[in-house]
Amino acid sequence: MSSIINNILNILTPILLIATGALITDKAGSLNIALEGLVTISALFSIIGASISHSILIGTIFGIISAMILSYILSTLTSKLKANIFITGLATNLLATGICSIITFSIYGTRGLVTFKNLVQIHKIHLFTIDISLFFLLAILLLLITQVMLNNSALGLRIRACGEDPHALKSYGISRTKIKLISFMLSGFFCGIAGSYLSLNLGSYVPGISAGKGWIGLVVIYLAGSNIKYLIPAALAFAIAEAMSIYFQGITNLPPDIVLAIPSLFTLIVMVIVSIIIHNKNLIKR
Amino acid sequence: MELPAIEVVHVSKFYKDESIIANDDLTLKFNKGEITCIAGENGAGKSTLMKIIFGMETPSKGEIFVNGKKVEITHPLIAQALGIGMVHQKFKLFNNLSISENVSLGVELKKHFFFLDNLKTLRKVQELINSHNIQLQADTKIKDLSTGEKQLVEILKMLYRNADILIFDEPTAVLTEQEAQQLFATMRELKAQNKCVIVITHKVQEILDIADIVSIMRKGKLIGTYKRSELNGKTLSDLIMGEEVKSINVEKKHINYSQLKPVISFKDVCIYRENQEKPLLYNINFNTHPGEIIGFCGVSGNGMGILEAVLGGMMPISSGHIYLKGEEITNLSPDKLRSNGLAFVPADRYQYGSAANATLAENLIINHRDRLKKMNEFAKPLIDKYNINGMPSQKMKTLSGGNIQKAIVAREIENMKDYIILSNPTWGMDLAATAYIHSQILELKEKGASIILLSSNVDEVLLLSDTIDVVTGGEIKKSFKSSKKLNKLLIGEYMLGRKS
Amino acid sequence: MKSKSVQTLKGIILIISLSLLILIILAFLLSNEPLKTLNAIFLGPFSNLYFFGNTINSMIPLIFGGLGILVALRCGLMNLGGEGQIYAGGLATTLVALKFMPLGYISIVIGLLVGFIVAALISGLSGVFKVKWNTSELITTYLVSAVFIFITNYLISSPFKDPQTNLIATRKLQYMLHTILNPSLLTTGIFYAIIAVIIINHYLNNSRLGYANRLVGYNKEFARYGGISINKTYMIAMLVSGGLHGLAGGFAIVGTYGSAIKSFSGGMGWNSIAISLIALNNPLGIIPAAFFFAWINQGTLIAMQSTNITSDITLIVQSCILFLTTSVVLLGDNK
Repeated sequence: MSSIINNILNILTPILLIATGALITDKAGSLNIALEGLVTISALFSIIGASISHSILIGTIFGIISAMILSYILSTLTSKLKANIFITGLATNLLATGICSIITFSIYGTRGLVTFKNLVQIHKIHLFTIDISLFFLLAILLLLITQVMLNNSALGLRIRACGEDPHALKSYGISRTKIKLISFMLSGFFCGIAGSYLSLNLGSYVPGISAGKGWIGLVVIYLAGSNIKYLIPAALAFAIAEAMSIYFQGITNLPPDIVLAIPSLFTLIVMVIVSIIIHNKNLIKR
Repeated sequence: MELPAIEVVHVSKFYKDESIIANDDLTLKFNKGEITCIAGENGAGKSTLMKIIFGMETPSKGEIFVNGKKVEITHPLIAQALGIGMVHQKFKLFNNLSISENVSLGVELKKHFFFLDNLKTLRKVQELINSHNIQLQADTKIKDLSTGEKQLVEILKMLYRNADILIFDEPTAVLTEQEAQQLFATMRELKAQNKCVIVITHKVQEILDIADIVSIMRKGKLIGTYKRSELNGKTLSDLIMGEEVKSINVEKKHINYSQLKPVISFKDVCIYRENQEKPLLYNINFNTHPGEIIGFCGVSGNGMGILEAVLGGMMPISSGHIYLKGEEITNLSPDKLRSNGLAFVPADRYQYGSAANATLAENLIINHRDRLKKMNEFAKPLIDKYNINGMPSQKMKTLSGGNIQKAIVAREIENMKDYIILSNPTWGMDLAATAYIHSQILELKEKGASIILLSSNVDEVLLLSDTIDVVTGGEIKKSFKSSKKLNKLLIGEYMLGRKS
Repeated sequence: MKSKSVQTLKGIILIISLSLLILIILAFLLSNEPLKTLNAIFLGPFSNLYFFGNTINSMIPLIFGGLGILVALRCGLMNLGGEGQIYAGGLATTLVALKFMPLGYISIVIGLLVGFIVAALISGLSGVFKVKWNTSELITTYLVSAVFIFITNYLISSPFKDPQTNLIATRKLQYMLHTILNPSLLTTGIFYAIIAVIIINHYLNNSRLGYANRLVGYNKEFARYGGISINKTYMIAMLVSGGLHGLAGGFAIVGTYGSAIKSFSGGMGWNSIAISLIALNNPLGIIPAAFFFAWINQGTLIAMQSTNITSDITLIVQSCILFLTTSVVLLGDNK
């Protein structure tokens, strides 16, 4: 039982971080589909940073910086070139994969798994038989800070206004580009921490380490109705589902490929169910 | 003598290497404690001049002085810092934020560097509201306000930023008569507080009501600046149009239309919402007849838009029946209605009426998709017949607003069989274009079409309609037969629900 | 009007030059022998008939995939599921063609047809979600595709794996398209690809369904108001989009691979999106756009064989192209 709970917390931590970051861009009116890429690049850079410095903290900072640089590039190029954010988001995912492969290939001579020995372990608090990592506590803390930021700060007010009507902002003397940039940078910050957690917790970097968590993050926001209060239960639903699929993989003989398909399938089903609920609600409203 | 609040000297604005002159050597003064109207037809260059003053456009030539000091206004922020504020035609408000949040956005009050000081802001905004005798609560969300109240919030926004020069761009376009009167009262109060008020408009009556000074523009040039006392309705509209206005004469034959066979009939049409709230439409009953113009008027948010959507097949009804010449057409989809000869000029000509990135020909042919192979041959005669200034292969977005509306009207009249729905057909159009559309409507009436006119412009409904239905709170509250005794104010009372 | 198309052309040239510049920079950064690498990338595909034929050959699935994206984009839809649709369509083609092997070359036709249908159904599923419950097709196409990638992986590696090969792949087809530029891999598939471009061009520009497709893409509210059924148009666009992806996979099999090999379609779906964007939503533009991609990809492959560079630099070049091609500024289409 405690191993299942540990598994759930382990999966919940990155999803919650990613979703919180993506919620900020969502509130500012953009669908950030570059989350996968941001998580991936941070996963590689944080493990490189940690292996050089033998410090989880410095590794995490490496990861955060790399993801924030990438989201800066994404946001600035998109606004400077007046490009379509979906396409540039896809491009960012490709770019991150490309950069990571090239780096692992150039430095470690492999395009696959990179393992580091003598890595420092992530601190965990033992509560009875459950391990709670500092990253999980950080994720909860940051979620609360984000809530306060969105509801009770000038920046939050501007982000919400930007999400409602970005063009009207100009007449208030507020730069829409700047607000979008800030929201993307914050999103990068959160994805950075999530990426660090993924690779540092695993002790290695594998291509595709984010394993669709960026997309899950988007669906979590959708499921929570863009309401920060429902972010934890929504993220928890995904974490439980994925933990269950790992559990069943252990006790049944399902082929691994099919097991790998379960998170996407589950995300899809949730996405469709939520849209059915929203659709029916709107029908009655009319 | 006091310095003028703002002065433009020899200001010109060219586009594309001087080939298009939007403003041609304008010299104007605007004084404190006065209401100045800039009058002119669409395309006269009024809006361009105001955008220059508000820093949204930079002049090609000329100088601007604020309180006697030469200034370069290159950005709206600079304009704001100079005490210039502008209420745009389309409100720039955030529906999900409160009045105080909207008013303070961009100049928020903070505490401890990071947090918003919501209480202090609320108090400050409420004081501002009270000091101008406005009946609003600062914590109300914008989405709960009427159009007229939203406009007041726009004014509060300017005042909160200490604006002394207040520019209004066609402020009454979306208001009822009563709301307009209330706005004029607020403007006069601003004048009394020694503010400089500038109003862009093409409505003659409005100018006569509020102006102290009138500057008239035509084709980018300043025709002249007059005192209100020098003008009357006739001289003013002559000056604006530049020639005798051919005002259309509407003779109303008093036919008893109800003897004729109805074309469109609504029987107890209702649209309910969730959890027992007030229905969007309630017990709508009416018949339309050949050769009759039936006019609906109402304040926005009272069911006019819903009625339009139902008529166009864009929204299903909850109960009731709709018939076309005795045959039931309830809840048919737009494509079915189209094949029954639906002709429909929607209020929103950009969202529903046209596709900006498609060509003019592609826009015109949508009801005749069987003739796609010869699209341009189809479009050509329509373009000629309705004097649309454009080429078949030209993108719709490159046409002027007036020409887009002409194209929509042309397309819908061509598809018409028995009836046509026109929703705000002349909204935002100048006198000449309005007269053109009105003459087209009357021509259709002559030919025996049944015409359903939905309009927030009471003048238009009064001018054209044989029957006038006032829609309030989703219901037809009052139905009038056209007569000389009817007037704008009486209808306005019903529209606002003060009489029933 | 004219000056705008000139500006657009300038934009395209600028985008291509910038991408090439990035490629050059990468080569200098990452290769021990940058000049040799660049030579291989740029001139390799033209150095002999073998490489040239291979380059043209790799255009075939890209053309089909690019057309598939284009049909969806012109309807205002996004299909991010190209990867899975190509992969599953390819496997379906292979399995059916194997089943009907006794019929000779007819088996290819049946296989391609089934590949088309299978992929059309996969993307059609997202179409149903969109039409019935307004579920964002952007996310569902991606998720459905992800599911099908794993399912296809499983089918190729377990039940349909050919035990006689070391590859993770199905049995090999006996009948395939004819090669036309021996010894290269180029097949008659290129002609079918070009025919597909002509058909789709005609479909979009001259047919009633194509008109509906375009109008819904321009402004769906206007289309609905004008009596076009949005749901029907969306469904058709998603089915055609998926079907074309299925053909992309199918032609890759019956032309080049001969059997469904694990991950044979890797990256084709994403490339299709970039190609469709470079083609500026014009079906005829798909051919040069696919050629450009095929050239860079083939060049990198050649460079990888002769120098120490990894083919992943194409990923970076592709992402840069994607970044640049959606630029309104570069293409000069204001508003």
